[in-house]
Amino acid sequence: MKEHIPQIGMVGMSHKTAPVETRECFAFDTQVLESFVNNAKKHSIQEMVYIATCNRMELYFVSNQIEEATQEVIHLLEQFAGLTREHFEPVLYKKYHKDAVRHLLCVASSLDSMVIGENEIVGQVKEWYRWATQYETTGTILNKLFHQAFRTAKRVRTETEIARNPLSIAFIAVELAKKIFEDLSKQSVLLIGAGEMAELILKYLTKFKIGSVTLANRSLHNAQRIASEINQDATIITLAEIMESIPNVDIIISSTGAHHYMLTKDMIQEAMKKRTQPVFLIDIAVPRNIDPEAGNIHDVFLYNIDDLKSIADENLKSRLNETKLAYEMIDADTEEFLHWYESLQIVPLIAKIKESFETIRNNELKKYRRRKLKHLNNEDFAIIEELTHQIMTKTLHIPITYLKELGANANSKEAKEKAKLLQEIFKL
Amino acid sequence: MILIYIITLLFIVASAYSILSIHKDMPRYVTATKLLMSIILIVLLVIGYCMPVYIDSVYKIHIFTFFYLIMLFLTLLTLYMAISQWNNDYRSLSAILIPLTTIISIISLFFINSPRHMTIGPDNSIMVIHIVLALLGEVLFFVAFASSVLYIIVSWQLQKKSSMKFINRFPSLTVLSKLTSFSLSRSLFFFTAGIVIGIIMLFQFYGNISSGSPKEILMYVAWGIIFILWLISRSHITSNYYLSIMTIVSFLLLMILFIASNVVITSGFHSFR
Repeated sequence: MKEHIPQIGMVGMSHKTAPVETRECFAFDTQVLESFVNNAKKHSIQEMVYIATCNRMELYFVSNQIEEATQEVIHLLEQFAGLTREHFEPVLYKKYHKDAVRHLLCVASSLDSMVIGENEIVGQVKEWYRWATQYETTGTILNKLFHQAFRTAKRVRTETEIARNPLSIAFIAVELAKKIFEDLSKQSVLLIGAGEMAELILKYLTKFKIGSVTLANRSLHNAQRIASEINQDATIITLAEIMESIPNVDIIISSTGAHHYMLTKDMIQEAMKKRTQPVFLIDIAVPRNIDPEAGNIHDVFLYNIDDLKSIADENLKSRLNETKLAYEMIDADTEEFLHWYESLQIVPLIAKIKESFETIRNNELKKYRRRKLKHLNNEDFAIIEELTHQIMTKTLHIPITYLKELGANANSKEAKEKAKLLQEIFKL
Repeated sequence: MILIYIITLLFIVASAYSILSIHKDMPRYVTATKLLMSIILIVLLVIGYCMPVYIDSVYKIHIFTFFYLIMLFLTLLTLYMAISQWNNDYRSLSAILIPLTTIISIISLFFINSPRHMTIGPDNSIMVIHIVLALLGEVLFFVAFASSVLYIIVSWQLQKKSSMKFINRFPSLTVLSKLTSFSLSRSLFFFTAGIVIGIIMLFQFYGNISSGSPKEILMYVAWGIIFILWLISRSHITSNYYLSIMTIVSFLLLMILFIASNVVITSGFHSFR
């Protein structure tokens, strides 16, 4: 039975095996890729999906002669990337059958990513799969495999904590803000000073539709630049006006080069007397801009860069702890896919049985149409056709179900013997 | 009788699961808690069916019935949270509400055989509405207490800079302060309605608007406290943190007063004379 079923293979390189200089040579644009695909179709490759992200290039393919197909793929890569085989083959990994399936499930679930649990990879894989379906380079096997990969990725995301806690400092700050205020669209933020990290936090807050933004900077030019880049509706104030603003803002991000506390405990305490809502203070500056004692005031939540970093470390640790559970899910889903894949071996036999019955039915119908049923009009004869079709389908239902179950263990000795017997009985 | 002990046992197990669900962060504990609360509701309804209070056009309400009604309302409220907008925060809210209900269930065991009762009807059936409204007011004050406790916990965790894995198990501070204000205002509404109905009933039945019983005084005290808390929450004169502290202290004070008065005053107590 085995020779009828094409096999799954993959070749690829990732951030783990190849430097960016090598990887970038295989990031084909769509025009090059079209030509690549057209060339691949001429060879023994039956199905193919190409994936390229900033961290990896991978090619999944299906072929009846898997080893030959692998060499053809490598040859095409050599041709289209403009690199000699010796140059990239040492960093290329090749996986087949179960290993290839498991690898794709790991990739889609972000377990093979540079940042475990990152969101983007599944979207990128989906995008490349969509491209492949548009160019009709996928078939039964890769369609099923990729859909399985998307399902597994969703399972891993929702049933483990792998992607729940953020790793980036800026995103952690936003998550904390949401833990305090829930709906950021009703809150206001004050950015004191400037700096890459502070601006990134502000960008994230703007992305989450923060209510209003106030920028306080020693240089008006700097404040205007931030406003034009991040939030054009931002109010610009001078550093001297900060004290008036503090009671009215919910989030304060401080990132100035000052060597003294810009916001002292007394200043915060005074501001808190004028408000009932909590306040979130993010001190990104080194040396610090906000008196750490201010963090002891009730409803004041002060986080400095080290606090945010230690949360990031803890979140990373928590993600790594979750990988064990994620791998268990991937192993189970790989088995499930292989179960289906093995059952494909019985498909040609089922098709042959159906075809044989269908031939008998058609021949008999033709014979009867010519002789005993010639008095029937077309409508009545269509009913007879429908009836015979129903009888055939119902008669075959139980044996075909049995064959499909047999297909789940198609490689077993018993399954092979039974399949052989069926072939003999029906002379297939 | 055996069912009452079973219900207490079930509450203890449900409390353990609700606390575990927040401690271990495993969805199966949340499911187990919801399942147990559903079983508890069924058992409570069976108890209610086996101990009818309305016989021959007259309500005979024992002191245990009050505990029973509070348990029933809190159970219904906890289950409502599982299917409403609060479902996302079910884990944390139930971890406070279910242990509280368990405490009430345990306390109620001491009053199972109490002969103290009051008879209502057929002329003063309106009193049943008074009781139900007042109890709903109390139950909502329970919720205000629970959300205040959670507010303090989340606030401490944020100040301690605990891991996000732990903080994420709780609702945000804004949600909790909104829940406190919401519960206080509804609690005040039901309490006020309960008191007004009580006054109407007293006037109709006894010809005056006050019986001067300790229970009545306690109810006015409770109403006064809830009214002050509601005013504070509306007027924004203090931070949410201090409002939460005040709600917790007030609730505990009222609980102690309520339990102590029920234990110490064994006769001539409001309607249980």
